[in-house]
Parts: sequence; structure tokens; C-alpha cells
Amino acid sequence: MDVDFIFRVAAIGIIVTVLHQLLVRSGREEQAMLTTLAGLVVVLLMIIEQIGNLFATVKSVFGL
Amino acid sequence: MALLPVVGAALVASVLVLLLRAHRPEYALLTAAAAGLFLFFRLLDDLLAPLLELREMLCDAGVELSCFTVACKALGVCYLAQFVADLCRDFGQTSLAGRVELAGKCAVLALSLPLLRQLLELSISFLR
Repeated sequence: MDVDFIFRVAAIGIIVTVLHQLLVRSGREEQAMLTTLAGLVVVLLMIIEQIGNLFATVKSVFGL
Repeated sequence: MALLPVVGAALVASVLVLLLRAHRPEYALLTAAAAGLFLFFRLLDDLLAPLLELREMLCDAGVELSCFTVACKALGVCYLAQFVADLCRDFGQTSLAGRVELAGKCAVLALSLPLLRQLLELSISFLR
């Protein structure tokens, strides 16, 4: 767990925003929606994996 | 100094969140959650050493360790509940945050029941 986890999530957010605008401007609203959804799924999976690690760490540190 | 990286990461993360909030609010919130997770991990790393040291001191002083372990567990539960409740508030769900805090309180109560029992028995033995 290091700093670039934050930057990775933010980078995906920025890329998806740009892609969304690109696709919307070129008239493909549904692809834009799907791209945003795909990006969201990727980021959520990353975050949920880290939350799993968090719970394991809390258990080990506090002996829960 | 353990404070500097935490301060730096928090500032950078909030700038990124602001940047993303204009276009994609959901990614802004996920970035905030990621930053919260990172800072929480750093906190846990910095917290482990003092806790173990405290345990050593208590062991040397011959104090019974059950109350210390209960205190440690309660601390962990409170940290976790507070972290998730603040995250829910970030997402704008104050009612969910209240539910999470309530769950944390119940967990701490459940944790402290054996201690209360010990206290009760101790006081009764004094009265007799």
C-alpha cells in the first residue's frame, strides 16, 4: 500500500473523463456510458481489494 | 517524522478530488476513499510499535493484561467505525454514517461486557 495507489485511482478517473467527453462529442453516448461504467468497475475492484487488506491489518494489529 | 508524508498525501489527494469533482463526482469520491485507505494504513503501521511497547510495560508492571487487550480491541473497532462513518459522510450519506457508528458502539459494548462482569464481582467481593 503506497502513495501511487491514490494516483492510480485519480489517473483512471481523469482518463475515463477524457474518454467520456471524446465519445460524447463524437456522437456515441452509449459507448461513453459503458466506458464510464467499466472504469468505475475497475476502480471499485481496486478499492475493495485494499479494504480487504485493511480489515486483515486491523485484525492483526488489534488482535480482534 | 511520520507526519510529513501523511500531510503531503492528504493535500495532493484533496487537490485530485477537487479536480475530478467537476467532471466525474463518483471518481472524486473513490479517490477520496483511496486516500483515506492509504492514510489509514500509514496510521496502523505507526500505531503498532507504541502498542507493543505499552504491552511490554504493562507486562513488566505485572498488571493483568485482559483489560489492555479489551482496550486494544475497542480501539480497533472505534478506528474502523470512525473511518467508515466519515467515508459515508463524504459520500453524502449521513444516515448511513450514523448506522455505522451505532454498530461500532454495539461492538464496543459487546467487547466490554466481560470486563464489566469482573468489575461487578470485584465490588461484590468487597461488600461481603
